Amino acid sequence: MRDTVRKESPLIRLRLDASGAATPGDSILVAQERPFLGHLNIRGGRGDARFAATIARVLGMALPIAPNTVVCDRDRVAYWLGPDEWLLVTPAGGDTVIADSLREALRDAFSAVTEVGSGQTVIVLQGRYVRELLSKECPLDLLSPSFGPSACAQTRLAKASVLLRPLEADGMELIVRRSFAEYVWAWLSDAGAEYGFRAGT
Amino acid sequence: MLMIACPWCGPREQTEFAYGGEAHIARPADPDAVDDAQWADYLFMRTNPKGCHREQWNHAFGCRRWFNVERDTLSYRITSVYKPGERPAEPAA
Repeated sequence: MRDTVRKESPLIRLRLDASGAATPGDSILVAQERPFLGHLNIRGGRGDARFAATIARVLGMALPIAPNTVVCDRDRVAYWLGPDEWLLVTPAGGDTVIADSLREALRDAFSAVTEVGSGQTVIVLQGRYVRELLSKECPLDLLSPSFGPSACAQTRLAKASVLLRPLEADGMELIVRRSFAEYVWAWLSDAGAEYGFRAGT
Repeated sequence: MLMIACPWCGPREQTEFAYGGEAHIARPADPDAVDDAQWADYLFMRTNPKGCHREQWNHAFGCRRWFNVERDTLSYRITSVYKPGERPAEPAA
């Protein structure tokens, strides 16, 4: 039965698959959804020195220690969410195997590994005025050069909580809750109209 | 609008935070041993000072961690921010 379940993006009602390709530029701001990626919430490590070492051994990558930073390793990204909480985003379907091996390695540690991929989705914005657009309703100083690649921030966009990560070349990645995805998309398309907001595939 | 320095995330705008009331209110160790007046005092009575106030805040839109803030209720100036279990840098005036 498991194989017959059809996954649906939280933005399925917007019919984004019908939107064509668009190239970001001075007058075009392109938004794309990256659905179905693996999202793992990893908690633990308070006063446990072996926790970080165990994670690094299993993943082959270290979790970011500095607040609001990310560590990228090939196609995986680890985000700092809190002093004992991280998010690991993996390619689609890659999270289950990683979760199982992490749970096995951490079974004696006070920790939790939770698959949250079906509860959130990723939206990528590209274009020259991405930061201007987000600044309309985000209290962070997005125009500061210190918020660049390798940084991330959990913050507020309009009335939704989002996890932001700057990408190379004027890009910004937003991770939003599934239940807020349509709202965020609608807000982006409305607030982004003056910057030439387009849905891309 | 307050700028509150989360002990982990640094200065963020007040709209990212949730207020959690007065800090350092200890629950009676043995609730059965206190009378109704003492229990009501623990549950409901707050100091509500004019001046230095130690209070709890939660970085609700950020790292979702609780911490303590020492704030002047008259000037709204924040004099200290510290993690749970810690004490403020200087004793309150």
